[in-house]
Amino acid sequence: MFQSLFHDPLIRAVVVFTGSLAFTALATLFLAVTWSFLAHLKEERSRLVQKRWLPVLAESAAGLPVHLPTLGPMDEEPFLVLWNHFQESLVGQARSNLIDLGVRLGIERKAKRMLRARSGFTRALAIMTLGHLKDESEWETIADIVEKNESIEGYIAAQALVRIDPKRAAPVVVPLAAKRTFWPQERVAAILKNLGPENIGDLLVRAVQEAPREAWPRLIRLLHLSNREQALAFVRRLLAIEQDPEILAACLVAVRQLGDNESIQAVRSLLFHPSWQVRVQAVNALAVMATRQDLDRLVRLLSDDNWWVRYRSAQAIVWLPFLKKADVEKIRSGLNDRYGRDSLERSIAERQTRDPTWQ
Amino acid sequence: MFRRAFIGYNPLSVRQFLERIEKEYEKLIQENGALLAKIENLNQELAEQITKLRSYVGEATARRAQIEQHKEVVDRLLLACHNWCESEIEKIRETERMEELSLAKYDEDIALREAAVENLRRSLTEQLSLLVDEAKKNVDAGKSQVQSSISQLDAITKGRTPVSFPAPSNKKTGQEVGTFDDKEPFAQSTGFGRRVVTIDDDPSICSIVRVVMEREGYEVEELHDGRAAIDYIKKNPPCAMVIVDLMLPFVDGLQVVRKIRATPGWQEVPVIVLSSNSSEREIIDLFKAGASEYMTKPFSTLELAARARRLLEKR
Repeated sequence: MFQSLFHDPLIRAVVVFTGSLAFTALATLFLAVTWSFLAHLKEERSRLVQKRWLPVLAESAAGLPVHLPTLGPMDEEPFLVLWNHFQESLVGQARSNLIDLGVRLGIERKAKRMLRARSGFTRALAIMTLGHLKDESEWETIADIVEKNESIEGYIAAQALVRIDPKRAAPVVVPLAAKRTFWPQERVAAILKNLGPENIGDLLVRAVQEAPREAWPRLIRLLHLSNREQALAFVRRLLAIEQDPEILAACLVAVRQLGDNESIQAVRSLLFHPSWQVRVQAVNALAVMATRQDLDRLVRLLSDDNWWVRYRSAQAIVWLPFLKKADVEKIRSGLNDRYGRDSLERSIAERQTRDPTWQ
Repeated sequence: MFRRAFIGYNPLSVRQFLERIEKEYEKLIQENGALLAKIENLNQELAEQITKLRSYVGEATARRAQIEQHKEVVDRLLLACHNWCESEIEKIRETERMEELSLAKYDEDIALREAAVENLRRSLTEQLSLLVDEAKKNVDAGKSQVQSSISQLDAITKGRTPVSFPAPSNKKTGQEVGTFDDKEPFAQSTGFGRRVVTIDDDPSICSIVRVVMEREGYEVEELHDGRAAIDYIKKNPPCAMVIVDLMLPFVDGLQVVRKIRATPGWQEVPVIVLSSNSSEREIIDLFKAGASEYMTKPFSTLELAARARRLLEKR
């Protein structure tokens, strides 16, 4: 009877479909269990490595003589994660001590081997390790990764080049800061900070000039990390001629970051710019360089149409070093604009919370 | 009679009258039928309600029986609890009586030991005074010997070369007495507590701080979040120093610093704040809250040790 049923094409199709569905479900379940088990094993291994190596690394960083446990092939990756983390957490002699420890364990050989691995994580770890070891032998390979790889691996490679030789890395890395628009701004700033203004020189200003205009606002905000004189000259020129509100706003951010008090006239002239983004940044820039004669301007901006402009103006007034709390209260009571009064009240309360001794 | 009854009446109108009566009668029959149907419906509803009511009454009776049963169980449990509590109270009283007895014994024992300690102290004081006298005599003898040696040397050299004496040394260890070893842990040379608390959610930072401060001769206690730090400050006596990270889970480092400065006894404890990324204003806030030192991460272990040593020297 069953055989005759199986001859029916519809029933056969249903049986085949159900069977394949069950097989797929079982296979997926098996894979999930296996993956979970492997992840657990990896985590356990990492925990064990941390338990064994944490005191050794800490003592080694502090310059104490240490007895080295054996570093098994399975422990290499978690150990390198820990070693790199220590490198990131410390400076000075401790870093050199950790490099000595790494050399004793032969991690440069392991890192060079891992550089050719298929896994992106392993390669990134190897690049980071070679960077911390300041190993120049793989410079070309790492520079190639920086040029070709636009992902996080490329970023790690750029950072490694900076660690190995900042002077040599600057011409490779600085133009990339303009090109890699999707790298987070803070990360790019961290690389430039590690390079130092002496190595960046005029490279960043040139990179800004060569970059498309839509990238300028992002890059101008990084200029404070390059050579101060060249950055100031460029920003002042832009403030004088530029019309684009986004670029002007970025220039005002740069003025604040560079602490350029000589640009105060340009900043004052932009306080009442039609674009609120420019007005906000002008207020922010003025906040750190304002004199008594700027107080009236800031008070006028408390009645601005834009909430951010009112808020930043209120903050600027409240944090002015030459004003006491009573002075600010007097300004508040003299305000006719309800929104401006609200902003100032909020900023007074904020300062009071942050600084209970403010009088 | 019928004839007389119908005299003066139109037979046609009588028929109409009869027909009307007949219609009225039919109408009344219909209304009666509807009323009967309504009564029937109401009867049915009533029967249903009575059935429901009966079932409710049944359920209520069953529940009442259950409640009665539960009540009995609870009463029994309460009785058992009461008995158990009584027995426990009795046991505790017994223990207290025993403890009182043992305390009395301890008191006697302590008194005996105190007497023994007093005796020992007296004998030690006597021995010490004897030793001091002997040492004084030795020193006097040594001084006179040295004086004679100097005079002899002066006589020999006639004041050409200055005379230097080696520092007195401990005979057992050979180490010079009265000099400090450069690598002596700082904590051993101070009279303050030897406990340093490090608060950081990163175990590697805690382990580095541990090594650095243990090298300075301190015991290090690790805490991994701000809430644990606040609890620790509330429950423990002040320590020698606190090294705290600014970014902590639950409660940040700034709040921890404020708590330290607001807790009696902890106000004078030096606090070093470690932070990876802080704005100028945050750093100012930290110092206003009472932080003694601020260090950025990544940090130098040597710098940390130097700053810690300087702060502890100030105390």
